[in-house]
Amino acid sequence: MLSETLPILGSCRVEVSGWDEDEIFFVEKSELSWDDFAGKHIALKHMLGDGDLVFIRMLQPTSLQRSFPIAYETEFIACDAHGSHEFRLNAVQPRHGRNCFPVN
Amino acid sequence: MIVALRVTSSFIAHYLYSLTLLPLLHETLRVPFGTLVASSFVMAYATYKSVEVATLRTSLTPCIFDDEPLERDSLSALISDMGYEPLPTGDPEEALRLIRSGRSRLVLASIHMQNSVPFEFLDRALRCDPGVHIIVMTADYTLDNALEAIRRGATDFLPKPVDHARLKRTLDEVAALYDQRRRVRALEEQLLKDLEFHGIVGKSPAMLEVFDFARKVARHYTNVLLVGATGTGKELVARAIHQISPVSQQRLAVCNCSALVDTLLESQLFGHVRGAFTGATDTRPGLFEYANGGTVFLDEVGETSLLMQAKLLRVIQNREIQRVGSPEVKQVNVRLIAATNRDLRAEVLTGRFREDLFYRLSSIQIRIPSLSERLEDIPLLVQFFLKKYNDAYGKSIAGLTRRTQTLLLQHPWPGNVRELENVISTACITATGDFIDISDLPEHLQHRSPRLANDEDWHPLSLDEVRKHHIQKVLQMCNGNRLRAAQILGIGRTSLYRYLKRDGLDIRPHTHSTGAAA
Repeated sequence: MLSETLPILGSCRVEVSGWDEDEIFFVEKSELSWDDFAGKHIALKHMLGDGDLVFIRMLQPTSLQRSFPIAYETEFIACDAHGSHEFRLNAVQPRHGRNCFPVN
Repeated sequence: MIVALRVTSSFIAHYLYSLTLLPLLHETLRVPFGTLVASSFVMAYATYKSVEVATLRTSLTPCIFDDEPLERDSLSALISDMGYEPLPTGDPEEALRLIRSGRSRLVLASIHMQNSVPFEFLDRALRCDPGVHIIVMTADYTLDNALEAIRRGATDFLPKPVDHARLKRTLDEVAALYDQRRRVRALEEQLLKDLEFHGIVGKSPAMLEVFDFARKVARHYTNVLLVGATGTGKELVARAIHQISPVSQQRLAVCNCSALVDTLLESQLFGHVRGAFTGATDTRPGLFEYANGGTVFLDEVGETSLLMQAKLLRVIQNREIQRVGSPEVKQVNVRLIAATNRDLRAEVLTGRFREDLFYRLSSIQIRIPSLSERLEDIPLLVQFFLKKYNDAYGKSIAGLTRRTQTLLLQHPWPGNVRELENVISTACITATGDFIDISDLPEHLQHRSPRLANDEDWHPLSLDEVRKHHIQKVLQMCNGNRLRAAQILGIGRTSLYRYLKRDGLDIRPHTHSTGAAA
């Protein structure tokens, strides 16, 4: 299922797309990193609000199929030394019926 | 096709059955055979139509929502006699559950107009599923109330006691409409299958031209340049070209040139030997070696540095590579597809892209149109992404409400197909009903005015046309002063002259009243 987490180890190059805090559509390449403690996190030049949706697509050079964009909710952590914005990524689950099942 | 086949077979069955009765009728009624054959055809058609209508009725399952048990039972009995299978309830929450679950696509709702919020149920029902048909019934009929109900989205407004003939007519109309929508959806699904080109969807002339050209070049190309804005689907076109090329059984390697710094990009493309740089703990082949015999796709080639461009030129010219840190030169046999969202010709003029590499790459060039140039593809793309995300999220969303479709057609789509895909994905995550409504879209789209005022005279132009038009406007603004215009445009005066010459604009230098040449 799409909403399952990306199978990543350590870090990988990804393409991030979504709408920034000015509601402008953006596409940005970045590094998605993962660790047991902090979960998935990413640094972007664009600023996003907490709970905004972004779509992450892995840039896999040898994959036979184009990878699927997966939706995540952003949670702002801090600005890094290069002026990029760091975000934690929380998986989103599709709503079914009247229920919503947020994860993470 | 399947629907048509079912319809035809159903009709033939009725016709064949009526033919078996012909000898008996001929004997009994003494009517000529020709007349009987014609009559049996008409009878078969009538029987087939009545069976079809009956099927429609049984599939509609109207919900009867009335808090008066006697009236509810009486209406249920009446609707059963009309051939429908009613689901009666006196509980508004139960009625809403039936709507939400998709069991009832039609609700006959009895409403007391003297209630403080008379249309609360209607509003809630339409919020649950904007595609549901609600027939409001009331004992307090007034023209104003009827108009208000229709304005809020009711299908019809009937005074109580209900006129049976009118009720039947309304129910039959809704059943026919329901069936019509079902058939349209089936046809659209078929159309989607027919118009899909290796995972790319389009029926606009611009996209059909791309498919046609891609088919032609796939057999013969060695280098292809794909040009188009971000999100137009350049990678999909590249994959399609590889899939229909003679090397489709070989590997395709994809490299996004903007995602990596020069050193990493070089290592990724050409490989490296152990110890070539810090962290090179083993010898690795690059993507050109990996895809030897197949295709390498270089996305965003316009982002590469001049140094990297020189190395790429060597591969294209000599089909040879050198791993980082190795003196050995290796021969590779790869087809190359490059893509960019930049105007590489302009990049060459400004010195940011090598002219020789540009001409090597652009011997075959395919331009992918932006989504705003092919708005007619939006309904098809929406359907394609709905299917994709219905499968992915385990949903069964049937489509978009009319007002949502209108909104999507009015959006300028700066992010092209990628933005549309994200919008549909977001809506599929959010939507809980059978149809995506405006409230399911990303918030900024819900409140966005259709187009900005200064977009009213917008036309889908190529970048070359936009540049020509823009240069003309800037020149007009500067009263023909080319030096000033070049400064504003952020290019050199020589580049401006080249553009003017190429675009067939007046290239005579402007002369001020003072006599100084600009």
